[in-house]
Amino acid sequence: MKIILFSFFIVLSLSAQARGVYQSSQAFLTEVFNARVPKAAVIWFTGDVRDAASTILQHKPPRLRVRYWANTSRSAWILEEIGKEQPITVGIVIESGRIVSLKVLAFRESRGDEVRHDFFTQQFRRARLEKNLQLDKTIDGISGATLSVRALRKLARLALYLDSQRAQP
Amino acid sequence: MTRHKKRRVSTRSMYHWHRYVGISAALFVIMLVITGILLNHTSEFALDKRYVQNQWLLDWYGIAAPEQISSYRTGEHWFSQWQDLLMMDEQELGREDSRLLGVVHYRDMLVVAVQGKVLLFTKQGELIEKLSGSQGVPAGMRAIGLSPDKRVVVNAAHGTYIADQELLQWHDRKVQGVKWSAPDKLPAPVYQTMLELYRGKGLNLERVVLDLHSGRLFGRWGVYVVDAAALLLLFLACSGIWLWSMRWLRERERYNKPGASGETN
Repeated sequence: MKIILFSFFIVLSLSAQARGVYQSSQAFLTEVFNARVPKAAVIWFTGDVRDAASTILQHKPPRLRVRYWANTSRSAWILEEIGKEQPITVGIVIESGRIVSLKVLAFRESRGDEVRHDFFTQQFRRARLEKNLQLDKTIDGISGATLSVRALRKLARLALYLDSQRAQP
Repeated sequence: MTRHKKRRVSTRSMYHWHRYVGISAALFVIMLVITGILLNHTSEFALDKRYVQNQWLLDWYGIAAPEQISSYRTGEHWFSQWQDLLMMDEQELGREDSRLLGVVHYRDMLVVAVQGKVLLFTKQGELIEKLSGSQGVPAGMRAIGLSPDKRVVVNAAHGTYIADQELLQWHDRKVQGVKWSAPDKLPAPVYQTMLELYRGKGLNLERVVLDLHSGRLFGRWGVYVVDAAALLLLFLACSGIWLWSMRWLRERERYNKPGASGETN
């Protein structure tokens, strides 16, 4: 009986905790580049880049520059966007203009963290950006996580756009 | 017969009480309804993001300058932290809980060190980037400065670190002749400007509406007055139900009286 009660409370506490840090930026980059993490570079949000980013995000970019890591085959981006009230940190890997993987690194809202699971994020694999700055595939939403889903869609589009703007290493 | 007379007197006096209490409570009801609706829609009205500018109300709340203000000067710019409000000259840069450690002017950027972070701003106060341990900022930062060849240097728990040209990486290195950023006292006109900015962001509307709703705006006695108003409303509800039920019983008695429905023997 005690074991059942104990297990019940553990499950209850786990289900109540939506927010968390799932992977550090450094660990993400180490995984993406097989421990050979390239030197960071930056893209500045100025001119056309700023305009496009504002169109994608539906607001002014919160900072003037963003860093990325790239070798000859792939680029990695660590971006943040507010879900409902708190920022969601997302790591995105791009190869040849397509998303290879998208991972939620940190989720700080009290609900809606279903977006961090594979069943949702794997929808972004192989997505490209079209000329109208939209993804070329539909991403299904999740009930109760609309704003989190929207944030991740924006970040996927932004990462693809910024990848198209970066100078080749 | 006596029984009927007693009930009528009691109902009339209850009706009078109900009326007078209703008039007395009317103002409170209006106030509670308005503040209650506002509080129910705090997000839609953005009450937590709108700030009181009224000087009387700010004085009432005792919103004054904090005891400890840290300020640094770089070139013609003054940086100051008032509690968690970071300000540059006449503009606020945002909320920052970590303690301000120093500011340097590097290329076209203003590099602000707070505990655990380095914030990069343009000279117009626009945020370029926020750097933390995730971006390699050394742990236990104590001071920031410029090397003789104008590179950004920080003094941290494990030594001195120098940043690369783009401020993307930090290298553990002993650097001689660093000009460290040192605190400075705000000149009076700058202090006054910052004080007005600070007070203007010290009290949001949500707090005022909450305090008005609870009576706390007027201290302990304000709370008692609102409690009394709540009791008056309770009396109104109970007396209203009582009066309605008395009337309903009277109507029913009249209906059930022999001859009332037009029946004859």
